[in-house]
Amino acid sequence: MAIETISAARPVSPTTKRRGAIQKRIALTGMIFAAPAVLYVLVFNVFPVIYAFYLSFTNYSPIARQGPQIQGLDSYRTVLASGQFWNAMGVTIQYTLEVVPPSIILAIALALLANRPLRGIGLFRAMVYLPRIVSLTAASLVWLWLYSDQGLFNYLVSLLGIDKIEWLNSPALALHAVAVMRIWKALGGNMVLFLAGLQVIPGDLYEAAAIDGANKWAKFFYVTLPGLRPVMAYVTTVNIIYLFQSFSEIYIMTQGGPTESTTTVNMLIYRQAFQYNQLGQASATAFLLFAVIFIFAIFNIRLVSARRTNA
Amino acid sequence: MFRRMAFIAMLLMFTVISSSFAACSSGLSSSGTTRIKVWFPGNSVPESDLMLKTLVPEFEKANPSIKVDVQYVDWGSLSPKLNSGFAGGIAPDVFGHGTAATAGFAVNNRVLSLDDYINKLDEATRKDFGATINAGLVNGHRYMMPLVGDGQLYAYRTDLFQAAGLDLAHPPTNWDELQNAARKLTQRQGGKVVRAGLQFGSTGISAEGTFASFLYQAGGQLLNKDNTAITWNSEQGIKALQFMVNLYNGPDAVGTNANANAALLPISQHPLVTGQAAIALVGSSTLASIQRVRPDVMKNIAVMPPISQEQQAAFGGTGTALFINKDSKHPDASWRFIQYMTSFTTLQKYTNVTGAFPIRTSFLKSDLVQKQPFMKPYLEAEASNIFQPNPDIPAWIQLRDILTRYLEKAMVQQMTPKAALDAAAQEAGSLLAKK
Repeated sequence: MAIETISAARPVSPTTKRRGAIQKRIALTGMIFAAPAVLYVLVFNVFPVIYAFYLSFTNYSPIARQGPQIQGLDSYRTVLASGQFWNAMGVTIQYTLEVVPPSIILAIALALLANRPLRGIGLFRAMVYLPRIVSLTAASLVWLWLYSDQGLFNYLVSLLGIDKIEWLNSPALALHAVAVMRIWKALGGNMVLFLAGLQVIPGDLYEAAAIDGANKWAKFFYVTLPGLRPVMAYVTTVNIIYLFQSFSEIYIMTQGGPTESTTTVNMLIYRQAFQYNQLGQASATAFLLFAVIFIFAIFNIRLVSARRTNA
Repeated sequence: MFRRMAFIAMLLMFTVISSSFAACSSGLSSSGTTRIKVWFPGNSVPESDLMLKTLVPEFEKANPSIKVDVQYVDWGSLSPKLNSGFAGGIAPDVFGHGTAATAGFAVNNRVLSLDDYINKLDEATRKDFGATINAGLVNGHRYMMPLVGDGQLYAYRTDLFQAAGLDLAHPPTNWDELQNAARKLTQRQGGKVVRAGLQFGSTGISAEGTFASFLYQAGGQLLNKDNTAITWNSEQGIKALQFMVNLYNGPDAVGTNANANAALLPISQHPLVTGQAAIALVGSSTLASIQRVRPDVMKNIAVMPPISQEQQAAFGGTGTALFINKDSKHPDASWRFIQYMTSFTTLQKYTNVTGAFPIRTSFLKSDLVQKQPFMKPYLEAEASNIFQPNPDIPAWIQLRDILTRYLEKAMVQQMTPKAALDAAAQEAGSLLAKK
C-alpha cells in the first residue's frame, strides 16, 4: 500500500521508463534463448515421463488400433504378483551391489596412484579412462568374445591347467562375469572424479596430521577419506542410478539368461514393451523400478550426510 | 522489430516443416511417381549392398513410376520400430518379418490380406511356393508372402566322421544313430567334453528351436490343433526333452553349453569351423557364411537329411516374409515390389548373398544346388513339408519365452524334464486362457 502511494506520488522519469523497457527486452531475449532448451526438456523429458505414468494405468499396446484403455491398478497388481519381476529385482540389486563397492574401492586406489607425480602418469590416467569413452555396446561385444570358449580368459585359464569355464552360459557365473566387465567399464570415470576430489583436499591438513604423528594409513582414513566424502556420495548415487537401469551389456552378452540369472528389471521392461507389446505393464514396472532407485539413492545420500554430521 | 523478425522466422520454419511432412505422408513426389517405403530386417552389409545397388535400381528401371526407399532394421529393433511406426502412423508400406509375427499384426488389423494378390498369381508360381504360400494363415486369410526359408538341420564334419570310423555314405537317420555317432565323435579331457560330438542351441530361443525339432520328430506338437491348449508336456514332449538333456549331461554327454553363444561370435569361431563340434544343428545361412569365410573348412562339411524318430521332421519353415501395411496408400505398388522380390531371378541373387534357402521348389533343379550343395537338404526338406514352424498365434512370443525359461532349467538339471514342461505348461496355459 505504502509503495503504491509513493509510486503514485512520484512521476516516473523518461530514463526509468527506458531502463524498464530495456530490462523487459533483456528478459524477453533471455526467454527466447532459453525456449529451445525448455521446450526440449518439456517435450523429450517431462512429457514422456508423465505420459508413461498415465500408460501404467492402461492396457496400451502400440500395435492395437484402439488407444490406451484405463484399467486402474491392474498393471501394478500383475507386475507385483509376478515371480519374474521379483527375480529381476533381485538380480538387479545383486548386480548393483556386486559392481558399486569394487568399482569405488578400486577407483579410489587408482586415483591415489594417479595423483602421484610419477613419470608417465598422464598416460596411465588416459589408459585407465579409455574404457569410459568406449560405448557400452561395443565394450560388451568385445567382452563377449573375451569370455567365449576360444576367448582370452579361457586361454589364460588353460595356461593354469584349469578346464575351460562357461563364463556366460553358467547360471552360477554369468551375472558375476557381466559384473566384472561393468566394474572395468566404470573404473575410469570414477577414478577421474576421485582424482578431482583428491586434488581439492587442502595440503595443510596432511601437514597438520603429520605434525600430530599420523602415519600413511591414519592420513588416509582421517584426512583423505573424509575429504573424498562429497565426491563419494555423488559417485555412489550416480553409479546406483546407472546400474539399476542396466540393459545394454545384459542384452548383448546374455540376453537375460541362462535361466533368467541375468534378467535385470530393465531387460524385463524391454521384453514387456517391445516383445509382448504390453506397454501398460512395462510402464508400471518402470515406475516400480523408479521407486526402488529413489529409495536407494535417498538412503545413500542420507547415509553419507549422517556420516558427515557425525564427523 | 526484433519480435517481428523472430515471428517471421518461426512462421517460415513451420511452413517448411509442415510442407515437407505433407510431401512425405502422401508418398507422391511432384513428378507423379509413387514412392514406397520398405523395411528389411537384418544388418548384413552384403545384403543391403545388393538391395540398394542392384535390386532396387533394377526394380525402379522396370517400374519407372515407382520409387523405393529401403531401410535395413536390425532384427532386435524391428518390432519396436514397427510398433512405434504403427502407433505414429509412419510405418513402412512393405516390411519383412518372421512368420511368428503374422497373427499379432493380422488380429490388430495392421497388415493387408494378400488373398486377392496371391489368387491372381499364375498356377505354376503358386505351386512353386508349395505349402508355404499358405503360411501365416490367420482366420482363413493370407497376410504374408514368403521370401526365404529358415530351418535347422544337422551339418557334420566329414573329415572327423571318417577319422572316427563312421560311414559317410550313411549318416544318422534316427535318435539312436545320432547319439551313437555323436558318442564316437566326442572327445574328452579330464572328463570334460572338449570336442562336442553333437552341438545344438541349448539356451535362449535357440533351445526352443532344438526342442521343437525333437518334439516334432517324436510325433508331438507344441499346442493343440486349434492353438487353444498347451501340449508340449505330452509324453512325446517329455521324451524329447529327456533325450535333449541326456545329450548334454552326465558322464555320457556328447555336447556342451560352452558354445551356446556361437551365433553371436564371428563365423570363424563357429564350433564346426574350429573343430570343437563334429555335428551341429544349423541353418543354411550359417553354412553359407562358413563357405564365404572358410571355404577350406566348408569342403569338409556336409548336411544330413532330417532326422526321424516317429516321423521325419525338423523345426523351420518360412523365414523372412513380406507384409503390406494395412494403411499403405500404395498397396498395388507395394505388391509389385513384393512380386519382384519373390521372383525366381531376384531370389537367385538374393539367396546367393544372404545364404538363406529360397522357398521356391524350382530351385531344386537350378544351378544353386551345384554351386552350394549344402542347400539341397534344406530345399528338399522344404519341398517335402518336413519343416514345421512354431504356432502362429499373437501370444506365441510370450509362450515361447516361458517355455524357453523352463527348457534352460531342465538343461542345467535344475528341474526334471517332466517338472519343467509341466510348470511351463501351467504358466503358459493360464496366459493362453486369458488371451
